[in-house]
Amino acid sequence: MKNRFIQRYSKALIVFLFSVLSTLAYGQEISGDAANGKTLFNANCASCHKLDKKAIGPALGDVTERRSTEWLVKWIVNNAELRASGDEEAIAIFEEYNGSVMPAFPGLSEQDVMDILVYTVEGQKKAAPEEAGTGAVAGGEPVEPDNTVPLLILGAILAFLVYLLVTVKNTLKRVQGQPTTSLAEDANIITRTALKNPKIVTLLTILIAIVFFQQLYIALMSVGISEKYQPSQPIKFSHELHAGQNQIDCNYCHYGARKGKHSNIPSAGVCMNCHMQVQEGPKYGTEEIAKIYAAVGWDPETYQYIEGYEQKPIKWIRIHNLPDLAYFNHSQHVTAGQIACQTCHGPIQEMEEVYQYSSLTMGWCVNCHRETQVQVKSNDYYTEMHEKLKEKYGEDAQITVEMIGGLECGKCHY
Amino acid sequence: MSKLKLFTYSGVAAVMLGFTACNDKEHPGWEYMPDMYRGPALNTFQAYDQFEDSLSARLPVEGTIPRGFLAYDKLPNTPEGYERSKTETKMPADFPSDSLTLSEGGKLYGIYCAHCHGEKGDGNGILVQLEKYVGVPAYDTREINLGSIFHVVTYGKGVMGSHAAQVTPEERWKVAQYVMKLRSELLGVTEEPAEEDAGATADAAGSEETTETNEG
Repeated sequence: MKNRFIQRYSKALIVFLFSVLSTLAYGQEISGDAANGKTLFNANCASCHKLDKKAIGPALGDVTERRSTEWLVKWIVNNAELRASGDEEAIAIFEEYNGSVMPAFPGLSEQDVMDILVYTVEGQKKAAPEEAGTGAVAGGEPVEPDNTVPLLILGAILAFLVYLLVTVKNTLKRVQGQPTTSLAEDANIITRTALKNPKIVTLLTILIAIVFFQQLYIALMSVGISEKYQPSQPIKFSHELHAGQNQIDCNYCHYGARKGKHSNIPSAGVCMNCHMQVQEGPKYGTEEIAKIYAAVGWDPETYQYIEGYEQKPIKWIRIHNLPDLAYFNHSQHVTAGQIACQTCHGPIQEMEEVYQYSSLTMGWCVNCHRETQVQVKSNDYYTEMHEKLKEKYGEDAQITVEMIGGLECGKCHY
Repeated sequence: MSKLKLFTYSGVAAVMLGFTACNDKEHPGWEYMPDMYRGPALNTFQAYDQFEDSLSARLPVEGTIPRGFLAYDKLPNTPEGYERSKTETKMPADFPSDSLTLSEGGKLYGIYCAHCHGEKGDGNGILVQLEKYVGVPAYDTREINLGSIFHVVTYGKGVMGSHAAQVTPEERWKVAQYVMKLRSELLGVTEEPAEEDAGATADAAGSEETTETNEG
């Protein structure tokens, strides 16, 4: 009896030990500092790996379930050595990724690697509920207050009141034995009496003339000026996010402004510099970024350009458009003149949707050329010219663009 | 008579409404003489239906070299190409490396690199701080030299995309020099990285290749 108990007990013990050992082998027993792991992961691994998605290398969120800790440590510290030792798993993964080489990290201690592995587990756990959260937020997009329904209801009530009054009036007339009139007939009688009164007619004519000429003036003055023009673009690109929050230099994307006449719209390839990696935006999720992928033929799942894809241009709508009779050169203003983009384009870094900030009229150009002082100091472009100007206007003179010929007709019209 | 007047008034009202309706932000507004404002010559990026793909900006004939183009040895965009760039991609011998070039390189660095790599090259730019972009190494943790920096700016590497469209070869050499300066500052070396230094680093990288084949 006692013997049998021991036998059973030991059997159970062996099973228990086996199960513990097997779980151990698949990395359940890793302890470490997830915060340190995150720092190390972001600095060393994130350039090729993501937790939840395949990037250049495989997704790492569940790596501790797929591989043993011992193997992972060897692989991370020096994967070439592991491959050279003939480890089949290592060679298989190397070949699966077409022989892209993962660098060795001899600088990482075993504890560092443990920290990173802890972070891959913790980070993945955290990412899952977060995603659900952002989904809910994206669903509850701020909707513009829609007044149509209340207005329609109000209109219906008013129409009903008018109908009610007409009925009351007609009922009263019928009671008194007078002939009843319809609404249209009433309106006709009222206007006819009013129009027979010369005072009312004069007043009305004057009022209408004032409104008419005021509107005509406004309309004519705005011909040729597209200030506040704000067309909807094919992609809801936010300058507020890219130039404002992320503080990316304007010249990063509009790299032509420093060098040439035109400040270019960046090619989709420039978008892809970052959006290969950043596949989800804070406001529209993947929807808007997917439009770039559709244009260039990028598959975010396989992390590769689709072969033989017919690329399509993104048809941005041009906002700032000077007449062809006026010459304007961006590099002249940006590089030589060292004028900030915002001087003409307004607070771009705050614009969710870009609009034309300045009027871009000739008066506006000329006014700025009269007032703006040439930045001659620490500006190599003007070194030689500055000496001559000092001779002409005196040592302390403030030199405006006008003084260096900024108002000559031929500068802009030729 | 009164009916006629009613007609005129409503006509005027309609015209006025027509004017106010133009204040639509989706519409750029009217022009006095579009023929004079918009010549037949194409504007930059203007669509042009005569071509099948409607792109007015045509590609030059294959093999075209722009005037004044700074030629460079084109290595393949592969891990091997990157390794080879460390020894094979050389800055032209007569390329200036004075303080003016460095300051220009610094300006370009500020435009094209600093938001990820950080002002000091420590891999801690604003996008990394905001955790919008991760995986940016500090310059002193990797074995890099002028040639490999040029290669990486041209083709990109890891999460970094190709910046060849934005930065010309001349500008790339300027940026590369500035990056080497930042790197030596991070490493605590005070002297400026002259070309000899770069060569020495390249040689060192070459000799260490047996142990660091996978640096890449």
